[in-house]
Amino acid sequence: MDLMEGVSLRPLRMKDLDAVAAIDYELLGKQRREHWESKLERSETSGVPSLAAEKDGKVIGFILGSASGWEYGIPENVGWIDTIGVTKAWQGKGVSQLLFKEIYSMFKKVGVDTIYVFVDWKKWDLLKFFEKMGFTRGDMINLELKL
Amino acid sequence: MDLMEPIKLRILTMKDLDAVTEIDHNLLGSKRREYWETRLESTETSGVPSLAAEVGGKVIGFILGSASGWEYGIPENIAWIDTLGVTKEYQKKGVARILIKEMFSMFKKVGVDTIYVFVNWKDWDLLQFFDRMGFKRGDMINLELKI
Repeated sequence: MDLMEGVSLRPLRMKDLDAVAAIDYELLGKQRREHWESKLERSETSGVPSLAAEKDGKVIGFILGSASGWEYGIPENVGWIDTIGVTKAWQGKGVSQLLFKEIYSMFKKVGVDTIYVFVDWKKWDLLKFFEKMGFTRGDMINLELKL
Repeated sequence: MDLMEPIKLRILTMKDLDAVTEIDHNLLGSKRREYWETRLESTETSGVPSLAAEVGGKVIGFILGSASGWEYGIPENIAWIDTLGVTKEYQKKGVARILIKEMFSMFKKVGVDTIYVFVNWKDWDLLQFFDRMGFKRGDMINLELKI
């Protein structure tokens, strides 16, 4: 892992709204400022870890955690990784790993003992990433219904 | 389906907080009023349908939907069924089915064309229920990491 110098982590805040919306726009091609506003709002009050990665004062990536409220019968000791975003110029450089490692220890501190993610089986780069982070197959099955 | 009294469906609102908290308490054994307060709050503002089932003016079940905000890269035409709760004495009487059917048509109206749920592979009654509702296996894989 060749982590570039000077990338620092800190809690994600409402003041990061522009940066997060811009990274999201760059990756998905859609402007969703309002969506991120409510997400960041919730994230600030929930006590669930979320982080920003900064380089020279500029946000280059973020990770959003979320604690289980027994949705799908998943108990409270389970935390979820909801979104990871890294700006294209900084992808493949270990930023996600840095973000993940930190959120992992933050989850640990708040009593979470299991982290869940859901990944599309065709997103091989994500599968590979989570495998590298130590993830294994979980018990939840995804069911879908076309309307 | 042998229902004794007519079941009425309506939109779930903040005034159902006590009823929802009680059903949740009844099913999971923990009191989580604050948690439900936040949930109902975001439900009321999100524009995503959530429903209450009533018998004789009493809430006996509820369903909570949630629209995808590209969490896990899942696009916006997909919605989730987040929580489905029916009070014990009204279980196995078709309440969940009525709730879910109504939810389907509401989702359809707001442009959702695919519904996702996540079920533990050991919750056989839930798997059976969703199979009956027409669900198939989806593309999302659940990964977990024990801390």
